[in-house]
Amino acid sequence: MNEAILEACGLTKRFRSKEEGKRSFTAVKKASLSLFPGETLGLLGESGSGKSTLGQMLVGLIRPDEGTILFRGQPLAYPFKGAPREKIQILFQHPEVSFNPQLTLRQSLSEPFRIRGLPLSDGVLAECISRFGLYPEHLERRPGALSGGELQRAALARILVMEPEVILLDEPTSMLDVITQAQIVDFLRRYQEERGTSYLFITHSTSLARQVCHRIVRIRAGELQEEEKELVP
Amino acid sequence: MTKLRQNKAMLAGIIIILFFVLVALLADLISPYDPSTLGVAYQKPSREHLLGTNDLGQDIFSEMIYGVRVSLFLGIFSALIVTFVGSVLALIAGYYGGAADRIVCAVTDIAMAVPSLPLTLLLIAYLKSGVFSLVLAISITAWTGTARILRSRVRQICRLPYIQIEKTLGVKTPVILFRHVLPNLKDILLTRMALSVSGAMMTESGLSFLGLGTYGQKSWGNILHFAFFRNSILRGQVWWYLPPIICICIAVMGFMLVGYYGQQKKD
Repeated sequence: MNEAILEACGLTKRFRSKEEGKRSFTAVKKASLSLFPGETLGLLGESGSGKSTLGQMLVGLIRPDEGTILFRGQPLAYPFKGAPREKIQILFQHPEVSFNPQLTLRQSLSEPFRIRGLPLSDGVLAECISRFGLYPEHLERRPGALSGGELQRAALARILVMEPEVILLDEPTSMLDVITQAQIVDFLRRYQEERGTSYLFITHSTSLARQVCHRIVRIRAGELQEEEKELVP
Repeated sequence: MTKLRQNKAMLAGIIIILFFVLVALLADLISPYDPSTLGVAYQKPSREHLLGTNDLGQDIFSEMIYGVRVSLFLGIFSALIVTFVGSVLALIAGYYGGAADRIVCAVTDIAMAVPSLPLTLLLIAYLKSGVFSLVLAISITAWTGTARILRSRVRQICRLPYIQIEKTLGVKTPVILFRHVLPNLKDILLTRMALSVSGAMMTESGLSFLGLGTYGQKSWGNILHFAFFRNSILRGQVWWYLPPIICICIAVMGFMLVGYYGQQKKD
């Protein structure tokens, strides 16, 4: 494989403990990993193992206490700015809270277009969502009037406007029905083949990780375990 | 509108507030006399003077009508300042967290620890007498509760995925705060503002009753002040001291009912 697109070098994150007597607990301990172009890296761990914290550090949502993050070999400063900010995106587990409840889908989807300075029209928005099986009438609805599957597909459509090179998938299918799960996994696979996008797939399901990931890294109590051998998805 | 009809408490609150707002706006038209015009003192209620006259012969009914203006203006203006200050501090603390949050929380805790009534009295004593001094004194002591409650809600909202997604998309902080966080606080803002209006009206009445209010301007607290200090209770002049008490209670209840609705919805 080529040079890593995203690297974590010795990332550590501590949180203050609210319990008396305990000053802090370490959620992630000196974690190092590399994500290569066109690769799906599985980050497997139980609830509370630190996988989401590590993921959120990698997308720039949490400032690490120690360690460095490299994007295409360049160290990133928190908060991420410029190209790295646009090119590293995240898809969350809970689609129902992935959109501002006060805005319509049209308003939410318009945001990445405005940020990138792309032309925006009804046709563009309709095309943006059509490949995810959504229709123009969905654009006028608020999140409360859309199903979980529709929202997750819309959330994916929104981040893809940024043309990301790395997508952090934080258990993106765990709240969805089997058919929508399969549609999203299939779409992500095809998109990766077309664009060479890299995925960091966070999950607690070993079977799902084995099904979709090229490599799997386990995280236990904040520490990364040895990588499993390379898998063929 | 259907929801509003179902919530009778909220509807009653809105009707009460609208009634007093209308009275304040139309005071010049509906008031039978100029409240500062002097006449025969201590008259009992009659057709000419519905609530009688005070010690200077001024029509108490007209005083009550003009008093709505000062009480409402003070309440609403103080509540606007309290809500604005509380919201700004809550947004800073809740969004940025860390040191900003700790500083705001520490300042709020200190301000809450200071007894508000003595501080208000002290401020009134040092500030130049007038409506704006009262507004300032009330606002300085009343913002803490709003800031604390809003800060908790802002923290909750900022942890939601949609705010995290906005950050990763590269949306600028002011846009996140004013387009994505603030509109989601509207229920709690309405509640806090309604409760702040009622709190400010009570404080104004209390200060005016003590003689520290808006001197020279008619307010319900002022009417009560003169009624009490001219021995209206001993003289049995119910028509003088009871109307301001009833009006203060009804107006405060109106704002509290609106606040109560917001609280219910939040719960």
